Amino acid sequence: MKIILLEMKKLFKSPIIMLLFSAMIGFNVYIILTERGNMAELEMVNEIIDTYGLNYNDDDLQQMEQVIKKDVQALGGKEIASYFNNFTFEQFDALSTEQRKLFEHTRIMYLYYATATEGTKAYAKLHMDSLRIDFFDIHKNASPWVTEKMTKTFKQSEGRFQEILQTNEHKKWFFTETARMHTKLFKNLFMQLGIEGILVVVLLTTFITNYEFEQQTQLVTYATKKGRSLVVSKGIASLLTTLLAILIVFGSTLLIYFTVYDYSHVWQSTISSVFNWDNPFPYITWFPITIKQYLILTLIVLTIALLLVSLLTFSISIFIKNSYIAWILTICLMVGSLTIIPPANIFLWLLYYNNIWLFLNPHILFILTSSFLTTQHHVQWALIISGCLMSIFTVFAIQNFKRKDVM
Amino acid sequence: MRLFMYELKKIFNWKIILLVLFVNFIMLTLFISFHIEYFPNGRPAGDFFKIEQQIIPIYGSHLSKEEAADMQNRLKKQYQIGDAFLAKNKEAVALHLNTMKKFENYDEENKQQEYFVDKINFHTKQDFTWRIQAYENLIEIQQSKHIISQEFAMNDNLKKYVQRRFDKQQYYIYSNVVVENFKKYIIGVSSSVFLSVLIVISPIFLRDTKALLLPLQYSSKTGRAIYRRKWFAGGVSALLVSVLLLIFYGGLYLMNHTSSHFALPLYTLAFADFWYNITFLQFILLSGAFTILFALILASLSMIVSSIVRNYTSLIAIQIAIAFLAIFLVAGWGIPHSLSTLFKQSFMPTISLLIILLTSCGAFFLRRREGQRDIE
Repeated sequence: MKIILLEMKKLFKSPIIMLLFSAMIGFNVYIILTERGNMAELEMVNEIIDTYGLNYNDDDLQQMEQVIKKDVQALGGKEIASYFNNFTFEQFDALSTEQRKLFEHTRIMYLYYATATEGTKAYAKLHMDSLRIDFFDIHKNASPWVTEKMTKTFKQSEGRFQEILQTNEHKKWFFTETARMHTKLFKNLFMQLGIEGILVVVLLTTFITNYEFEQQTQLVTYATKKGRSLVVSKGIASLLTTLLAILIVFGSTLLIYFTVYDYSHVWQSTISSVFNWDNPFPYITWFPITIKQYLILTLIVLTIALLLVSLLTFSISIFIKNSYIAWILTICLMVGSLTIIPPANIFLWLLYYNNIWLFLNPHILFILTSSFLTTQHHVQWALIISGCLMSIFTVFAIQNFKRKDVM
Repeated sequence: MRLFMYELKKIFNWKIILLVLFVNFIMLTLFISFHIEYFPNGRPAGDFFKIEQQIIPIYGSHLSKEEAADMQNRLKKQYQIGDAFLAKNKEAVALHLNTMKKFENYDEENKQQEYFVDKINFHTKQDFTWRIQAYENLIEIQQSKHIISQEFAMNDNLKKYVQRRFDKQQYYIYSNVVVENFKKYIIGVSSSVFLSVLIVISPIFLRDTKALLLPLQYSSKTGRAIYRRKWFAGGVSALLVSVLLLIFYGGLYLMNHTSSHFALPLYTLAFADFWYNITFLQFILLSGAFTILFALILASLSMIVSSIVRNYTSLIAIQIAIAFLAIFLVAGWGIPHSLSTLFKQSFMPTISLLIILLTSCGAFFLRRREGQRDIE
């Protein structure tokens, strides 16, 4: 244990790594702060949830309509829809300061009301078949095996959709879809974090693994009683440092994100909510997941995927002792694995069980889409398959190292 | 000279060359080949391009009144083709869409009509609907006679610029399909060049420090002058890498067959507003020159970093930040818009000069430090 800690200490003695961490966090914070939209639109959801509860039904919506109607009449309108649709700048200029506040409040309330009424209707009319059509539009020459497999998947998605409609899982308040909060957090921010994570994890793993060769102390350390099994300690140290790096970079970025945006009321809302519809197709999960669960699941998936990246880097670094070449080669191999696009047969299907794809699509884990990533247990199998592959690499590398020349 | 050759040999070892080829292959497949393979991308972009290739030899860089009338004639001709086609088409006659006027104002509620229009637009080989759209857009661009991107954020310099364009009657004539494609292409190319240069140059001094070569080299007859030779070798190899890659990617760009636009002044292409009156070919060469300039600056920065840091981890950590800035700011913004009115007239020259000055100051101080430094 002491050796592992000492191996980790080598990294954190380097001030440049800390500078890199702070540069990355600073960049993330800059992006979060510059992408803030209309905060009033987001804060309205807290007020609505306080009044009507997390779920909504027709009674709630009727009550809400009455409230909006009263406000609209106070502003001098008659019907809600016609008032907002025919609103002009001249009308806004004529309002007093107090009235402007009321107008803004009512407008945002109406935004939520409109999504809850119209959006729910549109949601019920969705066809899961459109996913299948989109998929086979892209993969026209899919082999029979893939066709059968994916057709089955899309059939299952229809069952899941009916289940949502029956349990009213979609009738929950969430931030308005115009704010694109799912894209903002789970796509943009998590993709950014994932890529930063890859850069850092590959760097620190090559550093720890190749430290002795870099410092030319390999003849001392590998000739001790512990000998070449030191490399196992180095592997464990790099995994632990990966966790630590994730804690620092992910932790501080998310901390700032959730201080800027107030999620306290919507944690228990679902990903499949009608409001979570910022793509042409809404986000529908394979099983009921709340926002909080999705955040935790995404973090777990990305952490495991980063640990696998660390294992891959570890095994490459054992063969390539120059950490400069090892770093570039590992990054290139990972990016390069995305460039192989064979025709749509079983080989292409298997290629998608590559943990690198998870970094690029953190917003559609466990979610129905028209791509290969949509199969029901894709994420789990992707982690298991790449996990097995990386473990085999690692064991092979360690076995190989035990018989290698350390000069 | 022999030392210089040896240094070059060390820089271009086979591992580095393979890595550079690998990186360029990835960049080519992921970010660059798209702009060659799918040019012009879709419709009416493709129709714009075909029409422009026909009319550029006739109109050139100035549109006279007769030529503007000729454009109208060309548009009319397309309408006639459309009319003739629809009058003969049985389905069109049955749906009461037998003239272009009726075809354009079809009833969106009528499913059969909508289906037919859709079929003509997307599922047949008839070009006339797209050609009409392209001609109409081109005529709109030519008639607008003002410089659209300047309407917001006007300052005195921009006002003078717009006035000068008006005085000399330098209006848009053609669409922005070609120049936008080139801008996207050069973003990928310059990123690729920058990454390659960074990979080749970064380990230059650290390699020798790690191999404990310095005490041997600095106590030889050449002595510490070898530091300058290494700098020279680094500069030459950065130039070599960037020029070779640019020749390769430039050759690849010729596959777009945009040579018809090369001689046109940039102001004739829509929304490409440059401070200086240059042709499209000159713009291409200018972008190439800026790429080489910044590649050399990056090489110098890498060499500065390389002679300060003590291990590869610090080197990579700093290079991540430098590569990020180089790709997103310089390749993504600076080079495609180098002298455009998006920036102030003096922006790019000043920034370039400033960076060159800072880098050479750094290099100068490092050279002095290297001359007096204690080598352990």
